[in-house]
Amino acid sequence: MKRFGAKLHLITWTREEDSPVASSASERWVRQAIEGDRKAQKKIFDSLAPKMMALCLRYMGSREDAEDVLQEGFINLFGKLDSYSGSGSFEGWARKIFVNTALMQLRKTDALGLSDDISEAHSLTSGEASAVQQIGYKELMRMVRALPADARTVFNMYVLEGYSHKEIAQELGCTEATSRSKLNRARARLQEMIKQSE
Amino acid sequence: MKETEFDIQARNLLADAREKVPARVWRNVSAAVSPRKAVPFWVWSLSAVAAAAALALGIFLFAPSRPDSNLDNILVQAGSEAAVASEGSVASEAAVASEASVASVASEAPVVRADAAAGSAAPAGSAAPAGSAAPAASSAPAADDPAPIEEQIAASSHPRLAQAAASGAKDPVFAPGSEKSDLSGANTPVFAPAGEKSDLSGAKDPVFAPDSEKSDLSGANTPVFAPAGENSDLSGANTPVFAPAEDVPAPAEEQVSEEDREALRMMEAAPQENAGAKRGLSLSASGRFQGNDRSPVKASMVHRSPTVPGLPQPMEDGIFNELPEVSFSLPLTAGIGINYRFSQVFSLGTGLRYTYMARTFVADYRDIENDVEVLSTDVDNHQHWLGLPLNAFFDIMNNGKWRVHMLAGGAAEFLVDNDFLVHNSPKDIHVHESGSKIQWSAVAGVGMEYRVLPGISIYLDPGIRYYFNTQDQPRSIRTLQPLRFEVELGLRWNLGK
Repeated sequence: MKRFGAKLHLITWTREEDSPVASSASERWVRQAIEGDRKAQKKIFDSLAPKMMALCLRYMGSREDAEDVLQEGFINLFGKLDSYSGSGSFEGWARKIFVNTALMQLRKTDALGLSDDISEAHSLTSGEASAVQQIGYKELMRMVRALPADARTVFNMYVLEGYSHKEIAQELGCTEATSRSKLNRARARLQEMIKQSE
Repeated sequence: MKETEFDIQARNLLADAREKVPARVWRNVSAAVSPRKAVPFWVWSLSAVAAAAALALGIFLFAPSRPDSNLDNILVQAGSEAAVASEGSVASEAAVASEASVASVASEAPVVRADAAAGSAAPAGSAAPAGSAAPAASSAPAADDPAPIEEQIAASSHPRLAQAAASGAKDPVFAPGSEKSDLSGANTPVFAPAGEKSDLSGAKDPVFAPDSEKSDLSGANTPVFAPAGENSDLSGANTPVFAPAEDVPAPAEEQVSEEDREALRMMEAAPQENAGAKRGLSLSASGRFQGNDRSPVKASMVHRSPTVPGLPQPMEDGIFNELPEVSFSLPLTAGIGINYRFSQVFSLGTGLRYTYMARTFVADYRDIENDVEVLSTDVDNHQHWLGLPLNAFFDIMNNGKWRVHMLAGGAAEFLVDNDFLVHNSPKDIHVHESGSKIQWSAVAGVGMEYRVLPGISIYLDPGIRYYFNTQDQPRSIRTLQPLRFEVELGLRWNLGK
């Protein structure tokens, strides 16, 4: 095995994909992964896992829950690979699977607890909006994770995933007004945290 | 500032974010998503048992039967006085009257008569063959001589006689003097006058010809000992028959009827019933495969290599920290062999076997130079082995076409190459290892062989093989499951006498 050790001197360690998944490569991996090709499944995992981990972290708040959702999401993804029609980006299709997986987990734990409470309407000031650029990703992620589960969910679905309030209401079983209210609440809480961090 | 600008800013920061993924996530995902289809062990076992049962059933249902039906026909046609091989009876000569030498046999035998117009001078021909009840006719019909042939035919209820008469079948004709008699047209042997060749065809029993002629020893299922100077017919028995001195099996006659040809064919087949029991060498070419199902795999059975954290030095005894997720390909073996049969039931075989095994496992390994752990990487392992088997075969059934045998033996295998392919970004890594230890194994089983052509047979040998001391060997499905079921399929060329 010393020979093996000598060979390892040549390698560099990287676990992150620096370039987005090429469409032709992803289609080939998908085809192979459907057939049970282990290598293709690993390539899909390696290309999507870091981004999906960040997504799961935004939805779940805690890292442990995010890892569980990530794992469950990939199992669901590989189980539904044959339903991928090829239209639209593979990453976008995968993202929806992970969002649904996260929502299912949140419903299980009854963390959403959405109610038609619109009393906390709030509006942003111009100064608070620009402060987002200054705090950086890690800090913002920490703040988003700190939001209440219901507000965090709506914020993620509206701001990051591009759901409309109508779609959010259908998905979460609430009204559009509640969705708007929760989004405003999320923004207000984030603004407070940004202010406190300055 | 509009509210949406806050959203845009947040989206820019969060949308393409990436987070580190722990190794356990892929381990759990890959364990839940089966990467390679493994054929369950019970499928292999059941298939082999079904194949063995089907072959055994085929042996007993479709084994060729003995050609004894003709013997009954022979006895009926030739009558009770047909030439009996053990008695070695000899037909006698008799003067033939102008009417005929009658070769009537019992009441069912066809009648042979000479052409009354052919000759007035009765040739000194022979009478009908043994088994005939016909008297030796005198030159002049006596008052108590049998009725003329035509009357006998007419009186006979034998369909063949009537058919022969109706169709004008030709009867043997004994020519006078030095002419050649026409002995054709009879279904029974006709002994020709001296100096001519008797027509010994037409009978299903051995016919002993007069002196200086060759007896027709065909048509019997028992050995027939010919008179001195002729070749005895030692066919028709499943046990060896010792011929008299300087005796050789008699070849088939040239002029034989269709029925005789059929009888001869069956006779020729009879001696080969003992083909599988012949002593001598045989060569074989075969392929062997084992199952690749590893269930159940216990975590404790997977060897975990020790790691030396934080030390930039060469690793010992493996850097891979193999994780439980591993899949195996079908172990495949191909080879050539040579067998020597010492007796009818015992033979020994050896040869050369090449075996290929492959597996894919997930491993954490350490980058020594950078002292960094690389987690959850696929590694492909390919192993190439050369083996020397030694097997003993004991026949428990052999009917010439089918042979069922028990086998027991062992093998010594040498690892020629142990190759690892580490899937790594940006560049895959190849590592080769060679082994110096010998892998010993023992096998036992029950096999069968079918002769498809003379000297060529196919065989199927299912068995159970056990690999010894696998903990000292490179990891493979053998080290996880030392007791393995296998099936060997091959062709054998018999070079024996």
